[in-house]
Amino acid sequence: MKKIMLIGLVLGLLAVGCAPNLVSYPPPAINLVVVKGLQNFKISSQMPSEEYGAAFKNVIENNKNTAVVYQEKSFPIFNQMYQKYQKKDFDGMDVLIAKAKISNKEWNDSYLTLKNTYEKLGEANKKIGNVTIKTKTEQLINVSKECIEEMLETINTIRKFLDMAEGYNRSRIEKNLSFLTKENEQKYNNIAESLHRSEDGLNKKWMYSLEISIELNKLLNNYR
Amino acid sequence: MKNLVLIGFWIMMLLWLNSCAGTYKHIEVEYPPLSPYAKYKAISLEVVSPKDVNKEEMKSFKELIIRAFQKRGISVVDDIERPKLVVEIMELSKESVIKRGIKWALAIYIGGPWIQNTSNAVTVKVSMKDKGKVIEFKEFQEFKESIRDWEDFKKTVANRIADAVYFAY
Repeated sequence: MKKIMLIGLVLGLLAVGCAPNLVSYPPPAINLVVVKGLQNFKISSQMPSEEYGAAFKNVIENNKNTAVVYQEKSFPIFNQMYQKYQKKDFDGMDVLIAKAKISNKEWNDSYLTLKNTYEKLGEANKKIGNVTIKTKTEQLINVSKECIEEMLETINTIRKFLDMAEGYNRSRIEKNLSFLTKENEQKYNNIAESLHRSEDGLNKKWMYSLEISIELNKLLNNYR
Repeated sequence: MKNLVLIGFWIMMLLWLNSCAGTYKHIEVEYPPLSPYAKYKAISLEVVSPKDVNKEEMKSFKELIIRAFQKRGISVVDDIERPKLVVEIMELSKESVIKRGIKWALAIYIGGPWIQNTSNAVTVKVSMKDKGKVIEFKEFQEFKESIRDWEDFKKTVANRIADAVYFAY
């Protein structure tokens, strides 16, 4: 009987020892140069057509909106989650995860609107005659395509990260050891790392897209 | 008599420990209205399952999937022209009362974290058939969900399926 109880004790200790080794990183932030650049963007009053003008204005406005939704809604929640992880304070984590899911969906919606505005700009661009503006607009659309693809990648990584975070939080509350597998730990750490790395990629591409927008705006300013 | 007291003590300790394990408070997420640019606004749904899956459980799981879609503003329609979401159930099994009883007995007599593990399992393969193409949502193989609360487990997987479609562009 003593031997069997010892086995139970060892199993219990093993269970305590299988606490996951999760790595957390500060949340990705949009480069302030991009945020300020978009906020201070003075759209040219000279446009090759009314349709083109409306489409270009929408591109800039929706870029601004997409940056604001992430930076002002999602980022503070992720940052609060990160601070709590650092202190190992998990109180209210369920509420934060739910809020983060909502803000990620809002970001997803603003991403979709932005994607659509580039398509509209592409349509309007086909109808204009000025070759220089046409070529620069095509360059902007191509560069921005990469940026919005990176954005979608980040949105989906966030979604998967939140699913994993929810899984761990739930297993902590339920005291469920079945979720604490090496496979899940590896998956969590991979997603967290990939989310951390996405900051750099997204900022570089967004910055490049902004630079081309500024160059195009200068061309538009000189348009007669 | 001494043994009886010891067993009683073990039972009390385990009951106390088990009461520490709360139920996860499932927070209902209020979804913003579906974007007019969303790729899938209406889909048809097919749930495929092996014969040994309990029919009642499968029916309730399917209802949960439909509800999760409706909550996100995506309609589930019976229309072959629409993209078809195929949910292949690989495993849908609730831990039996007997198994749970054995775990309790083991925990009481020899100790150990038997009751802190669950054999509840929901494993799915999800793919979308759209315009002759089949897109598989690989994320469902990427990590294994495990939840002790059976109803919550089904609901969570249903929400994940609806989210995968909601975010697919």
